[in-house]
Amino acid sequence: MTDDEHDRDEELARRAARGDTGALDALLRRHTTLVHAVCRRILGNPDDALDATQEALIAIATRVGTFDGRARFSTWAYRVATNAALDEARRRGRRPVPAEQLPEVEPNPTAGLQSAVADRLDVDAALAQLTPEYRAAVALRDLVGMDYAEIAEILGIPPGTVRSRISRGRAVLADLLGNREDASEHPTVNP
Amino acid sequence: MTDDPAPLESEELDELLSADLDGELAEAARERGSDVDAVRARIAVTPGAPERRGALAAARATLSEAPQLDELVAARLRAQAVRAAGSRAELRTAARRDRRHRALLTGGGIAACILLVVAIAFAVTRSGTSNSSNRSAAEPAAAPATPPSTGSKLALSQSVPALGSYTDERALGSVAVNTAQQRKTLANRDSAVPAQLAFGNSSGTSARKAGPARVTGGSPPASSAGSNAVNPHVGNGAAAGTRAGYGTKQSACSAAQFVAPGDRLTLHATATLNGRPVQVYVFTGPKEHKVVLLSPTCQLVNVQTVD
Repeated sequence: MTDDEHDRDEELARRAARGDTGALDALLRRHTTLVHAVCRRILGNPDDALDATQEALIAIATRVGTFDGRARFSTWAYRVATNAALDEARRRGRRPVPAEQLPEVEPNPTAGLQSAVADRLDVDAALAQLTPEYRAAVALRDLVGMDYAEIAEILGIPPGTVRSRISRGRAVLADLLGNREDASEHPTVNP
Repeated sequence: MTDDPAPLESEELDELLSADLDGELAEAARERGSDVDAVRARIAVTPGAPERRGALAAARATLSEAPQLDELVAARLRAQAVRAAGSRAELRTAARRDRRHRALLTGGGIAACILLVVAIAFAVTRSGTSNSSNRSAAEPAAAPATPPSTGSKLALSQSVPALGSYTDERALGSVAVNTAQQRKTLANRDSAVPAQLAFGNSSGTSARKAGPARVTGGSPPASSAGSNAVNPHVGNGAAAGTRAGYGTKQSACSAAQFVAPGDRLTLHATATLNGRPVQVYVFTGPKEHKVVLLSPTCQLVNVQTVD
């Protein structure tokens, strides 16, 4: 996001705080996709992600008046989204599912290994091996583009811990992608 | 001899490569007590580091792709959030209104309580004042007359006896003297009987009982020979004390200045003379009575001597 976009966010937030419904809708429109993405990455489940997204958007909409402008609006909004997703994870008692319990993702040679659907499923499968707190660090870094210090502040952990969590998340996915590539290089030939 | 950089462990390599991809290698090196160059040198000597960097970069790129969200679903989510914000705003407004209403009720209640307390205090104070004024007004009538030499100030009060209506000062004077004598007789007979019991109301009934000097009509003489009548205007300013309306407020008129030292006040009453209210004072001396008539504002109306 550019500085202009951040300024636009803050202007919309000010108007929304004064009760401007149009400004609130515009503000939410700018962030709904990423709020959902963060929730989806943290929860790994589409339905839970929608529930958490709804909670996050409601929280943003109803608490926009408390946004004091000390941080960027996007930072504030994704903090709200992260907390909503982590709360949802705790509520549902979701625990990371071991990779072997997840449905196998069969490579589809005709569609190519970079198929978007297959990638998403693989990402969910890979990240499911991590706790939501690990996944939150990865999502805030790779989806939202926050720096380590911001992530540390949002999650209430040291920057070194953020670094190791992000590394761990990427490594898990890298391993999964690497295995899949290995498998595609040596396809099984069914009789 | 120089130390060759040591290769990194697998997890260490992942963390440093991942940090390098995010531009956070310097901070990672600093936390390890090293510098970027030394860390890069160690990465460089670690087997498989370039491949691992590629894998991590691919994972990073994959993770940066946002999961798709159907626009209709997104619109529904936004609409619900906006509605919730509206409801919350309405609730907040209602709560603010409710708080204001409650504050007004509380304030009104407190104000009402304060008014009630003030009213009670005022009533109690007024009652106490009234009692004390009644006592002070009754004292001169019930007690034996104060010697005029003391210059006593007699309070005007509604509790003093009324002698009735007259058109002649002399008739009123006679009735007043008779009343004073009757009062003295009663007081001598039974000291417990209040002086006021002997007096009637302002209709003149008691005046008729009082004696033969009753006057039924005619205009009063401006000055009656033999009665030592005094022109009322002579007494302007002779009265002392606060001037007040007749029978409505407490006042003090000094009638003693018109009589001789040694005379005793034997009656304080009210009457109507030529349609105007007057205060009647009877002072009794060794040989005669002096009747002083004062207006409600303590102006001298008439002084006469009655044997």
